Amino acid sequence: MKLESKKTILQTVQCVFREQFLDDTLIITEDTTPNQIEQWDSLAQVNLLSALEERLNIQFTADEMADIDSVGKIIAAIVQRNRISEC
Amino acid sequence: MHSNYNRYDSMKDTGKNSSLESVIASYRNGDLDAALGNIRNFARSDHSWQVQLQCARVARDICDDEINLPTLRVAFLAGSTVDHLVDLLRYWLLVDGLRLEVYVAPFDSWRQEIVDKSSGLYSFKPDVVWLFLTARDLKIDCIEICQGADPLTWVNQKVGEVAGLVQHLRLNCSSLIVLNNAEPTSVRVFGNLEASLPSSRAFLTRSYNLNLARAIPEGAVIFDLDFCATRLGLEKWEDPRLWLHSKHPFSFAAHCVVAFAASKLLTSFRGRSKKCLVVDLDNTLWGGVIGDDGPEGVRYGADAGAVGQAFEALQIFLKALSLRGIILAVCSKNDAKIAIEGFTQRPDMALCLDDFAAFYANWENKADNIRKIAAELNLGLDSMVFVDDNPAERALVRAEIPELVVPELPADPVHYINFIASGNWFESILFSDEDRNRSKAYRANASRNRAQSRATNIDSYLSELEMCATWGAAEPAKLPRITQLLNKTNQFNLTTKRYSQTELSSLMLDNNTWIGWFQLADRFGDHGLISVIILKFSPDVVSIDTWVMSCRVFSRSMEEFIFLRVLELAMNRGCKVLKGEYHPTKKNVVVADLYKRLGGRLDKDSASKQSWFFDLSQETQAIKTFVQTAVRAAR
Repeated sequence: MKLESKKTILQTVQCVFREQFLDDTLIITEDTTPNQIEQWDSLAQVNLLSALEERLNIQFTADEMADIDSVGKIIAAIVQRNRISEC
Repeated sequence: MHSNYNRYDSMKDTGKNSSLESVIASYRNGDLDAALGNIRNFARSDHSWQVQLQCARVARDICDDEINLPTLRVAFLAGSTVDHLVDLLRYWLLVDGLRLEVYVAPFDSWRQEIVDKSSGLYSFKPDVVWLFLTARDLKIDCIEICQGADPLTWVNQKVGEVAGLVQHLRLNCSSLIVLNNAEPTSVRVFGNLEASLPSSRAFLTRSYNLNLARAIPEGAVIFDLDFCATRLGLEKWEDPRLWLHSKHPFSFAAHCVVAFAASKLLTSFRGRSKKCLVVDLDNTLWGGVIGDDGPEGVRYGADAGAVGQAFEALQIFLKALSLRGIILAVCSKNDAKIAIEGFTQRPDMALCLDDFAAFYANWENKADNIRKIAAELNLGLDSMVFVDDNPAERALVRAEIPELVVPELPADPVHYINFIASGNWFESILFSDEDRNRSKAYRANASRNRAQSRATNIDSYLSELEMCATWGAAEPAKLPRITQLLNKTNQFNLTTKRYSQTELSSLMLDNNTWIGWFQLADRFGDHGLISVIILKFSPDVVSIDTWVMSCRVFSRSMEEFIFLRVLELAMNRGCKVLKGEYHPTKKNVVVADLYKRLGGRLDKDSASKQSWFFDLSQETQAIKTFVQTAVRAAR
């Protein structure tokens, strides 16, 4: 996976975060965790993931939904799906 | 010729000009009034989950703000995560002008909450308790039965358990109780055989739903979760990930379907269902233009192709709506004589002239005609739906009368029925004899109006009506109608207090309370039970706690008749003073001067409340009524 597309994914994820939290100025990195975003609770997590699912036309597994605790893990899960589709 | 049904295809989305962007923009600007207006214009039940979720977020902030809307308090008892459902329900109730306040019982604690009188449920004092159970909570499973248990015994046990909880709720609080039935599953152990095998899960679920419907006590209504799942389709309904990850009962798309359906049920409980459907004629009730094509030429029925059959099915559907009590009216740009021929020259049409309580066919502006229909039928414009195939007419009427529901019809008339049905505008928690006879009553009203225009003055008109009233104290058999009238009447309603059937049942037993009902008939027909009054007696003083009357019988001197009966009752109990209050709302202006007309004295006056006072020891002013007590008065 090229660095370039990882950056694109981060942009998409940031876009979804901004929509979900109604905050146009929100900046996220791979290291961002729920600790840094007050509203990112378990319900918001479900909303974030479902928004990403709709936008990217993917489905997270139940395990991923439970394990994701940072932006980095979200990106990793998406990247992994891109790899599979590249094969 | 105007027979091209698809010509509006490209315009079908232009009807409403609000967008999600405008909703969010007004919200971000902090203009919550504008956000509320935009959200109401924008809301559509077929929006995706993501769009509805965005709206729900804005709706939550609008509701958190001190907005001046009537509140509905709903307590959820659930064995699954309902947070998202609550968010969407709040959004859809806001669209219908209600502000949701909610109590969610701790996860899966529904049995304890119901049984424990000191639980959060009861201290919340809900208007509605929603026992939100799914098939999962009921543990409908075929294993036990495959091992020898009797299916029917098993089903009755489940039904008995749930009905017992509902009964328990009823004893402990007077809220409306909403109870889910069980949704089906796409997982079938026996495959197709489940349709006929009593011990299979599909069969058990169906049996449970039917038996539950027979077993629920009064004061409880079933929320048809089964229908919601069927409507969406089980493939879209089920999402095991959400259940396993966060105990959500079903998919997000399913949340949207359930929240929308529930909001319409709950608004009907608050008297906000629509009462009247106003329809256009050409290309709405039949294909083509009757002025051009003639009554024989319009497309209707089996001989007129697919579209003709679609219009026939639509008319049959509207006829059924009318038989269940939805008022129909016509508003069409046509020559009246020619428009009428559509029915008189075409006896094959399912609808006939008599099915319409008002018939406005002329060349005037449709918005004006609809206002006239509302005035003639004594209905609020916000209790009406207007269906017209022409987008330009729709846009005009919508702009002129924002409170009227003017849906964007699909371009192809074969979809009209499903579309109208999917609006859920005509929800009701009850079907009474009054509903069954309503259309007839409104038609009789039309005859009365004609008689009125013939009569030289109002007094001679009223005396020619030969009005006879029956009245009495509330009894159990009349309670459902009494409850319905109390909760849906907005215009002739002095204090707009709402009572549940359970509350009324216990008030009935209170010696210092008198719940009275009044029925009115005249030479054109029987109006049924049209007024309810609640009196509270204390030594020397009688207070009118609540007084409602159906808009069908305004201005007939019925209020004078009722007031005279109240005076008699008060005198018989030795009261010296009668008190009444008027709580102004947007809709009850019609009774603003009622107590004044009846000879009352204004005691206290504030923006939210007027207190009126009648001294019974003094001679009261002469009150004139044209209504007589029927010979067989039951008291």
